[in-house]
Amino acid sequence: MTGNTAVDLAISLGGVVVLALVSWMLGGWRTVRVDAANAAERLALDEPDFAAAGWMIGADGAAAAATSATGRETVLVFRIGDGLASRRFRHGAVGIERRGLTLVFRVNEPSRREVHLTASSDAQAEQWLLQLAGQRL
Amino acid sequence: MNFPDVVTLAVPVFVLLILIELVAWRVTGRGRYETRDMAASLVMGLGNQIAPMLGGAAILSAVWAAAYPLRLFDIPNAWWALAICFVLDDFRYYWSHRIAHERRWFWASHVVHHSSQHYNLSTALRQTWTGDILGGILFKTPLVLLGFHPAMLAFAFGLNLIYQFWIHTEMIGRMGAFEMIFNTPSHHRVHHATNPKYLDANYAGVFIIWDKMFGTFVPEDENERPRYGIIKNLGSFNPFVIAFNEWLGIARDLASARSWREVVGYTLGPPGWSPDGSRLTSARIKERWATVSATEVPAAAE
Repeated sequence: MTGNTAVDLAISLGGVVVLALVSWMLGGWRTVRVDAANAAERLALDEPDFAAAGWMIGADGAAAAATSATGRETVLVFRIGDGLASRRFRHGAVGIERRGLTLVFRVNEPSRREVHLTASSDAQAEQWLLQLAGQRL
Repeated sequence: MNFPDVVTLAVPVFVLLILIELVAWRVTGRGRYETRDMAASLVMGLGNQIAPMLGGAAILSAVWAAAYPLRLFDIPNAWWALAICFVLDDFRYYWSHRIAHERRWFWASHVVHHSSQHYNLSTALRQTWTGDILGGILFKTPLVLLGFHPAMLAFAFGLNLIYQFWIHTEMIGRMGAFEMIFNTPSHHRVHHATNPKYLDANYAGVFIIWDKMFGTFVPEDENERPRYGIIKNLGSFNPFVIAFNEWLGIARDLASARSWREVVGYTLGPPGWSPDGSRLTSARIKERWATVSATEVPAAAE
């Protein structure tokens, strides 16, 4: 690496830091809350042929899940910054376990190992787990 | 004629323009910025500057140095030659870019640029860490063999990249007659969109005429706002995940491949190819969209 190259990279790195700071100061660090409306909108955009039978909306706004009317599939909608992403899977294809109030979906991808869906009560967590377990039967 | 490293020279201008767009976003409400997304894009851009130093630039230079003595014509380093080189390189860009979308091996590098759900000037800098060696050898060497000096070619491509920076914005609307020949923010918004009607469109770098010539041009529809990102949006802002996610996906698929057909399909098939057709290629997404649209139209008409 030459001296000039080092200076060029230092300028670039300085630019990254300055821009990130300015963006943060301007209110750019934003985290969306997943709710029934935006989850359904995301589902309609990403999976237009998926007919949702019922929604499970996470109490912490981090994720939501929908089971299909056919009973064969589930869609997860989760937040990534101020955007949403979705994953559709056949029942049984993704491991689901309960940790307290949280249902953990092991999607096992490089960009996201797990998606957490948090219920508001023990009863709701149990009900969701049964609902999703029913999907896997 | 000397050919400076125009991209490096342009970095301070990039930073300044992003700053202006950030402020404009807050003032006007047009466009969208998210700090972590923007930082990830910028780090990808920084990595794109560093990655060639790990050997890629030397390999590419060696290949071009070997190819140049075999050139068909002695093209001088003159302004007229640079103009021709710029146009031919843009034509080359159209095809290499199109192949980067249509063949998974090349998509694994290029997907980085499309992995943001935002469309702003920082997105322009979200570039691959892995794609400059093979793509450079395969797609740019023919121009060296034609007779363009490698330094001129690198300069022309640098100008092309700089042109493409400013079109990554939602701040600029339609641009009238300019759009007939040149790639614009409107045309390129379509290219970055995941809406089924916008998929596989507008591959141009500078001249949109290539898309019009080869049937891949789609104009922006005022009634259908582009949704940016990729079909399966990433769940992370980690630059290493962004850089290598698709490569890991290829490795995982190859580990499960049961035949040479599957090996070829997973690497050189279209993104989303799978042996049983259970995944979505862009062609299947368009089919599904057409099917859903067809069933919705009668209902909407009632």
